[in-house]
Amino acid sequence: MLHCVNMTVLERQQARSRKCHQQDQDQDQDYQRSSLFDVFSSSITMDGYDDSSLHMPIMPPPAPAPAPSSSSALSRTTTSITPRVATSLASPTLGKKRKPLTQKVVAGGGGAEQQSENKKDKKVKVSGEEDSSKITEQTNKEEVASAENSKGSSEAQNHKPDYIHVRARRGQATDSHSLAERVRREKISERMKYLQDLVPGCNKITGKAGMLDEIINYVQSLQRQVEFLSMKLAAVNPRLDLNIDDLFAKEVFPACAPNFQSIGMASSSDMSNNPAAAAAAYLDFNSVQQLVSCSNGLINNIGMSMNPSPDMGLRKTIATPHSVSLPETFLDSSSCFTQALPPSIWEGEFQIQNLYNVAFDQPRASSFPPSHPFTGLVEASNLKMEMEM
Amino acid sequence: MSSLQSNVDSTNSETLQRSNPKKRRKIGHTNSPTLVPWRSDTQQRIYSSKLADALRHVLRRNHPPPPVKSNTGREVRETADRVLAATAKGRTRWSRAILASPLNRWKLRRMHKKVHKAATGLGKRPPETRRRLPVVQKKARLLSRLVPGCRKLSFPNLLEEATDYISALEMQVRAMTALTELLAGGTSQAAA
Repeated sequence: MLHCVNMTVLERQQARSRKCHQQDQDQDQDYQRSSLFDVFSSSITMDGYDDSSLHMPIMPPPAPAPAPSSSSALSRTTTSITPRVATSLASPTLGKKRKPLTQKVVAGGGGAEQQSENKKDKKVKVSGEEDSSKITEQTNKEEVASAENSKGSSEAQNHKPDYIHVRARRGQATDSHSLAERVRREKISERMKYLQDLVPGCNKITGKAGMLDEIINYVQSLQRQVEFLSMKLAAVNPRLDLNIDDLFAKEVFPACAPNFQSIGMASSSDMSNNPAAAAAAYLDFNSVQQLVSCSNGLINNIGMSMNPSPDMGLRKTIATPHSVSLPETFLDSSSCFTQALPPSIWEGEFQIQNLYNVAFDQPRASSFPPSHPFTGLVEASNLKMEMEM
Repeated sequence: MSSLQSNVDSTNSETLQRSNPKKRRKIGHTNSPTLVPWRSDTQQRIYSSKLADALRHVLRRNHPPPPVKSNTGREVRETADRVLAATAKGRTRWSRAILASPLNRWKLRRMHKKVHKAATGLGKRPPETRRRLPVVQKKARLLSRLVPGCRKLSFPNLLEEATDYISALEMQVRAMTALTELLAGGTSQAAA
């Protein structure tokens, strides 16, 4: 029999494990927790612990009260605690073993992802003081998950940050310090790998120092490039107002080029039969259509929240031979299109700024001057013609 | 005109060829899953448009060019950096640091450098004790000085900020190159 006065926690656990081995497997979960709290209380009291109390009720003694203090006491004692033989008790041990690690390895969000990863990759090598540790290791993989989660959740309530639960790989040190260091090293090496892909010419270089050299050089060269380019931009200053209008639109137009040509073809075939009234509308339509599609392109790129329905409505009406309805449709549609119509806006103002504006003007299609016919040329020459009016 | 168009196309196509899915797959960081995909074409256009706007404001201010001052380059650079940080939507530390410090960072830095050089001349340390800083840490400090707002950051976080900063800088260079080409091409065309 065991005399508890002079026993260490270790021996107590061994005795308890032998006793628990005889118990039912069904009581594992409950007993884990109860034995856990037994250990807690034992670690606190450390004396006068009667062996008969091992058969204490399943429900733990005042759990919430000693739990916070016990966790701190636990941290002191867990390093000396060896894993138990019994399957039922091994998981709390493993949980305890992991606890001092988790106190050091504090993770931000995403601890859950790391948890699952680490569980998959690594196995616990329980310290070799117990022979049957391997058995417990294998059998407890499933139980550890549940126990760990329960323990982890209860811990998470007590301690605020999320913990990464790490397992040591086979053949590696299970010291909490080395585990934490290994996690840190892996984080660093992962990020260095990303950087290696990013910085050109770093494939051959191994080692942190060389990599850091390359990274620093690259950042410095990029910053110097930005500075040169800004000087250049400043030098181009005088022509900026006019040119930015044309040329930025030019930058966008290539994306809209196919739209223009297809639309131009379709509309020209549609419009040819219609009276002169529609001819004016044809011109309007074409010029506005360019702006519409390019503005659509811009809007899509810039991410403005424009409802696509007017866009769709407009595209559909291209196919229909009803030319008269066309001006109306795009008048009714999103007022963003109407920005193109008032000619005053075109003079020297960058059309994208208009698109940014929230307040849209009413369409004035009648006032739109007949521009040069749309020749299918995609370039900013079209815009220039409209600007010249 | 067509050459310019092809230039723009080539720069844009380069960005597209840079395998966006690869970049997005990599940015599955647990810590920062919502980083901006700097390599995407969309981002470049967003940045270009914002930059054009901002530059126009700056250059309008300097349009009757002040003859003595030669600050336009620095101003342009700072607006470019600020627009870049704004495009980052403030999710990264460096972007927040850029946006938070409206003072000229570079001016202050030059002053700091001068002060540092004056100070280290006085410190009498034997060369051996100076080597107590491991090489990697020295370089980490250098890097932290390069990336804005990352001076007191831990090493892995510093690396992460540096990753994002590098890709943002690359996009900035691409966008500004395209812009200058367009503008320079425009001026030559208008003059001709």
